[in-house]
Amino acid sequence: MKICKVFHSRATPEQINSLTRSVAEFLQEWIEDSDLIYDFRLVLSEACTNVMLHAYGPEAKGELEIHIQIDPWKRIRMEVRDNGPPFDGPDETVCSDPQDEFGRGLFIISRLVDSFGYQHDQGQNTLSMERRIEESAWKV
Amino acid sequence: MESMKVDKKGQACILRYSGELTLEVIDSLKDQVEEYLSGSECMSLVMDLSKTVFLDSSGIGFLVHINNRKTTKNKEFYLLAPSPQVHKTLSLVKLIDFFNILEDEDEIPSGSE
Repeated sequence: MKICKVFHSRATPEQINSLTRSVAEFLQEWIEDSDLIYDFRLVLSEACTNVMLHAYGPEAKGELEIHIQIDPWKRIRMEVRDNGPPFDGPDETVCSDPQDEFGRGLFIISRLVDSFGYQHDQGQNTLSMERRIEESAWKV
Repeated sequence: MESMKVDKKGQACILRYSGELTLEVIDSLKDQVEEYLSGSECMSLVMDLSKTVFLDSSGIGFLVHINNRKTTKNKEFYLLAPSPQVHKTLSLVKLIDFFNILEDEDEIPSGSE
């Protein structure tokens, strides 16, 4: 039995923070490990910020969706969706030079999930990420 | 709730940041910190991150920005007692050895050397 939930927001810094906190609260109903919750929130923060900065532009306040799919005692899948134009996609996950102020979002995502992918279909971008969760991290 | 308080210790300004260090706050923080970078009030800036509970790549960029600026402003910059969350995130992006990190306020240099 999989549990699915969809969160909606606008791509602004304030609403992204509120959105990722809401997702973290939802995940806390299932996951015991607070470090893991932090990782998920960080991954979503990076993905949503990328949507704001690159899909829409910082002033556009475009629509954002987060789809959470929980496969209890096995894995969690997250999808971040937006209606911005297509882009080249996450084909590089190289860590930035230390002096670079930007460009670490995708690298952080790649380090905290087991797999991720991007697609553009019918006017929608989807960044999907999945992480296996060991049994001990779940709430009984 | 995010907040920043400033204390002085010798020629060091200690910027004590509480809360989450994300895109939501960094523009305003940059303006505040620039005053201390450009002014003559302190020779070194110490960012106390012991109560920083969340750090994303925007927050990392802010710390890198200050670190980059300190050289042109002839100041020193330190991170003080990063929280476990901050420490973990900086390690993840391989910056834990990039910054000057102090674990205790006693380690703050007392003056220009």
